[in-house]
Amino acid sequence: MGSFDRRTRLRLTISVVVLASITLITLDGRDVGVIETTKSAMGDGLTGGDGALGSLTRPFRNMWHGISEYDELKEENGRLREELAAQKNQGRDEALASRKLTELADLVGVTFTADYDTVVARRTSGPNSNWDSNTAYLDVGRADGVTEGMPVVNADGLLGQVEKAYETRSQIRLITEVDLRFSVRIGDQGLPGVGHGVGTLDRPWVIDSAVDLGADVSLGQQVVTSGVADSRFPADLPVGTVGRIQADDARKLTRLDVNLAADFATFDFVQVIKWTPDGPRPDTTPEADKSDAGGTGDGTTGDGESSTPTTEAGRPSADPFDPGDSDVGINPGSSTTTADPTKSGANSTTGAGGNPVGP
Amino acid sequence: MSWMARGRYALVLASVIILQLGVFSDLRLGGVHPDVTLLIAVVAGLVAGPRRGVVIGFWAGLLIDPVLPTPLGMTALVWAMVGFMAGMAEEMINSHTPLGLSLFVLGGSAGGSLLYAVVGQLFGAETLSGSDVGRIVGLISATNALLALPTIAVIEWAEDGRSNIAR
Repeated sequence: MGSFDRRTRLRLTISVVVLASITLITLDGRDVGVIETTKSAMGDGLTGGDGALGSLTRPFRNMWHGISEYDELKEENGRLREELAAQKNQGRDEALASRKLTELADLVGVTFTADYDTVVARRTSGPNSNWDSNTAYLDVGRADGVTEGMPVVNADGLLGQVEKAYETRSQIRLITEVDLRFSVRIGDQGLPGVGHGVGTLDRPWVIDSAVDLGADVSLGQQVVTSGVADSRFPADLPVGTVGRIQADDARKLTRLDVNLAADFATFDFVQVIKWTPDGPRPDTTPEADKSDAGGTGDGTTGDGESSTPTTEAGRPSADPFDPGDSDVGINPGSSTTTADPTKSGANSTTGAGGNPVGP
Repeated sequence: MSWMARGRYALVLASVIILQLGVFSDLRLGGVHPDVTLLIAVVAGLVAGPRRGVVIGFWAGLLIDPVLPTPLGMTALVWAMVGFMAGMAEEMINSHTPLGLSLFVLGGSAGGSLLYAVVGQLFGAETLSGSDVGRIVGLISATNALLALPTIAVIEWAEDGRSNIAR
């Protein structure tokens, strides 16, 4: 009898828990307001490096970083000691502040966002899940005018898109994610292509659609967002440089590996561009595309003198891209050309955080 | 369960979430951090049986769910299943040596991580296709195994000394 009761109670508990979980999953999938509010409030309270929880646990995290990055810290310490000897009045805090200031100054100098309102933000944490390396969190949210769909960039180039905007923080989806496909233009001639990430931060971005076999592409050419109708991103945000060219004879296409401009592992200060895919956008002329495709960043959109047919919202009405299907990992090319990622063009000099750009 | 035990479990769960988000999420080895919410589900099943494993696993998952990109309730569902399976598996083992318990947690964490990856993929996350599954499962399991014995002591405290583990 006792065993029967025990089994019955176990079954009842399991049933309740499974039903509750499925109900929550369903409600969350339907974006029910109360679930969103609860998630937002709990997330705001629990995450955020500068919040109460962050302050409480900072000593432990600092201790761990001290252990796990001992060699680097030792090396940095030696360098700082040398600097200290050379400049007695310049302390470690000042050096760190200076580095951050340089990073911010780089961000202020970004010209490819000049045509848009932006919000400067800082990364608060990386992914909270081991299973998702393509998510990061920022310290700005709806209260700062940030909404879902807005692009996120740093001084080096495009990082991702706001996936969820909460009250005081945002979750962004990095462009390294496999199913975040978007159209780009390649090189000075503005050759169209469609690409996507491969799910990890240390492997190139892939253009595997819309570039014909034998297309005029060369290593080191700049890749920028296209900004065509219904595109996820505005035009001319730097994505990276062509690092490998492979002929896909079976599909009559050229597959390109792109060395990403931004360093996704270490980025810190960013700009959220107040632009959404379904909102108005500045007119973009093909000439401006061409002149700016080299990533010089000297004003990437036109001043209303677009020669491209546009819609009333200022969007180009024709989309030359055909996203097609993705075959991530397929490498059937008969010819392959590879560029040294360390020599990947104008955007691969030094990242905002002083990190070499590119994988 | 007495109200005292419920209070102790509430304290344990709150501590686990604070530790997970405030400390462990930054303690990355090979890009992977320990998952103490999974650990608590496995150990609750091990120490207090499948029913307690289901309940504690559910709450641990539900509390961490709001800060994960997966749907709310998914981790709760998976961790509840893991707690249940850990409790059922415990009834089949006889050896409760420290090494045996650590290996049990290692296996439970590996199974739980894999289950999470499979269910995540079903819900549209790229947990299987976009991740290095072997590395992630291996590192989560190894770090959880290292934390097994102190966590068992914590759950035994929450259970007011009652435990399935024979000393």
